[in-house]
Amino acid sequence: MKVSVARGELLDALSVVAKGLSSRTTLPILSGIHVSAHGEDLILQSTDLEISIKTSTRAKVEKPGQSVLPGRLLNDIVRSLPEAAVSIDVGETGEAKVVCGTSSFSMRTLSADDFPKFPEVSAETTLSVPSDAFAGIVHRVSKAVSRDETRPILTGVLVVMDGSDLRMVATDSYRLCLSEIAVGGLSGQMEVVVPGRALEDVARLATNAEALSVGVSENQVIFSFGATTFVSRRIEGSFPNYRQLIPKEVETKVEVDRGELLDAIKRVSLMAQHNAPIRLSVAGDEHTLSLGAQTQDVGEAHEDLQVAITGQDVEIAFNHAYLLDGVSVAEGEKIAIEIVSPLKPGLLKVAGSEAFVYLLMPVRLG
Amino acid sequence: MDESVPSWTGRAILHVDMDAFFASVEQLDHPEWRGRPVIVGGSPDGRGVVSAASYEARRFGVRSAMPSAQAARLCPDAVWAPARFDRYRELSRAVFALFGDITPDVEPMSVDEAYLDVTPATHGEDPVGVAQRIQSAVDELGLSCSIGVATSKSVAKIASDHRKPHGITVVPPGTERAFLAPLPVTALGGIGRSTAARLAGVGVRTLGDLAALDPATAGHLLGSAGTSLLERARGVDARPIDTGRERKSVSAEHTFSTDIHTRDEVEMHMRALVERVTSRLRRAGVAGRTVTVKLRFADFTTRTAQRTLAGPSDLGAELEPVALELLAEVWSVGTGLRLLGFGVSGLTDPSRQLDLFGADSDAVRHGELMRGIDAIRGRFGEGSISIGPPRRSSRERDEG
Repeated sequence: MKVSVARGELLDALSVVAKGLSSRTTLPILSGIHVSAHGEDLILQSTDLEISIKTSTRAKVEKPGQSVLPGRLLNDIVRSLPEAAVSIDVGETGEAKVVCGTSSFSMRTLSADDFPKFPEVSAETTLSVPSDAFAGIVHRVSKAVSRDETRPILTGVLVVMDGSDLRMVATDSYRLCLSEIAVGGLSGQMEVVVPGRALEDVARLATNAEALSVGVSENQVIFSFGATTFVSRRIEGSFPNYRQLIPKEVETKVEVDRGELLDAIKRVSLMAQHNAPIRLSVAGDEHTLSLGAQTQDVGEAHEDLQVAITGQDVEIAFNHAYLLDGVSVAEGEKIAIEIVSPLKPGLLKVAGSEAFVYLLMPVRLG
Repeated sequence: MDESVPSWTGRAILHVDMDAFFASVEQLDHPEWRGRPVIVGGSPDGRGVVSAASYEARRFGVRSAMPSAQAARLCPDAVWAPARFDRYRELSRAVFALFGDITPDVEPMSVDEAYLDVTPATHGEDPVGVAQRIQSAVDELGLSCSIGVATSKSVAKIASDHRKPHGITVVPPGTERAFLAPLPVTALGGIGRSTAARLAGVGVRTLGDLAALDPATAGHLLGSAGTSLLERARGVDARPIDTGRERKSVSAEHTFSTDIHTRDEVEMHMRALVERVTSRLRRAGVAGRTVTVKLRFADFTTRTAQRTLAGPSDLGAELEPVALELLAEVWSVGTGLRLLGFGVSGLTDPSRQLDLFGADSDAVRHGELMRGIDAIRGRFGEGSISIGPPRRSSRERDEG
């Protein structure tokens, strides 16, 4: 195989497939990037057996062929090169030569025959979504994705396409975040649980493309954008029934300026150390939402915000980091806080909209 | 009792006990309820119990921990108020802030009770004057407290209960034994009804009778607690104020007079240690993430095993299984043990993040139960209620 490609384009393609490199040392082949040259294309692939990524770039192919090169090393080398043509030449001996200007590197390769075959997936349903809208909802829900592998289903994001709505839901069992957007031109329906990390990678990688298409097969979900195909396994099992968790009726509603609330939470949280929560008190007579935090032997903080209140006075406590997450990803000038009672989940919404719901379980004071 | 003590020698301990705290808060917040019998607790229609009763309600015989239905029969005209613990905690913080202004040496016993060390040698002020100052400051909050002033925690606690509500009872240094002597033995924390009956059987009815016993007889009548109860009946109690500040861990251990070998014995002692430590954690208002089990074998070698949990806990129901698992890692049945210890470190705020799917509901319920038990112990003494070993099925009993 002998191929020559512009350094910038090669680096872009390598950065895409780098997301799929495995860190598992037990299978060395998975730390490699599968490189193949045909016609006028250089095709790169990587997989960690959970996700598989394939992307291509225009290249001058002198001699078609394929090989597996050490992934991180190739990335680091190309990143360090000046902006010029890079040639990759893999000879009969299995040694790869990477040359750019006066720099040259040679490295061992692995056999392309040992590299897992890229999953050939025939999608039963395919939909197309603007990539910025997709990235927006992924960003909003991803904080609520669980990192706890003991409940695999919660490490995923429920992706629902229903009529013209694209909806994502994530929960780590302490909070649940739902975000949806209306997407023109959607047809068909799908409901799939995708590993949270894969979804975040797709959202990040797809920002250069205008739209991405999402296809679903029995076991896998396929994202296509630009010259890239990103295949992830689906997470099996049933996602918690989120509709049932979201309270239909609440006792207290507070409407507050998002920026003010965000700043107040950040300030008061400084006194919420060692697992201490942040307390919210709603006083209708005074039109105030008070935030308070107290750490034993350290001190306390307090702040009052002028807000619009309907319903009953109430006091509720939350983990400050979870509360901050919810307020920081809500997009809108005004936030609505809805409370049922001190030990029932509280709701954060963008005022006047149902497209964003952040459900947060309170902290029970010790 | 002479309340104008010119000079106080030795330690001075105050025991400040709020008068009908929850009920007083309700009367403070609802002026129309003042002077009327107020009962805080579960509805008399259900199976609730009385959390607190105002002095007006107590005149009808209403007591804490009484079934609400019974209280309603005794006092049909009472005002029933649902408990508002957040509000009580808020006022409790205000009261403790007053204590903090007086001295840093405050040992909180519960939301409405604390010991303060106001030893004049270090504090530089007459303890009785301090007590009067605290009482007026509490009055200004719209609440009421009773205070015992003595040379030890044990005597101060009995003194605060001597004249309630709104009393200050001073037991000057050297007069402890005379003060205690006429009181019934049940005045001493740790002597419940059954112990009192046993003592009455041998003619011991007052603390004076108890104080006159010799240590061997006291040990025979009262078991392992005999020596300390006897000392406390004589007004001797050197326990320091435990402020809980800068505490890194809470632990307890037990040395056995003869080595223990069987699983039942070892696990029983471990359960008791876990209960002691978790009760102290809750009283100190902290929870911990790291659990340590300590063993000393017959040959004096010591082993420990430790585990860090996902989140902090102050509940025996959560920590006991961990303790027993750790125990199994370092001890095999039949090996003699001369010491067993249990500790919790990595102390943090005990607030508990609730779970959307109710995975924690058992722990939450258990927490409620333990707080109830703590309240009973706080009021009636450590021995007033205990948790039995898990009930075994008949099959297990046959095998055991």
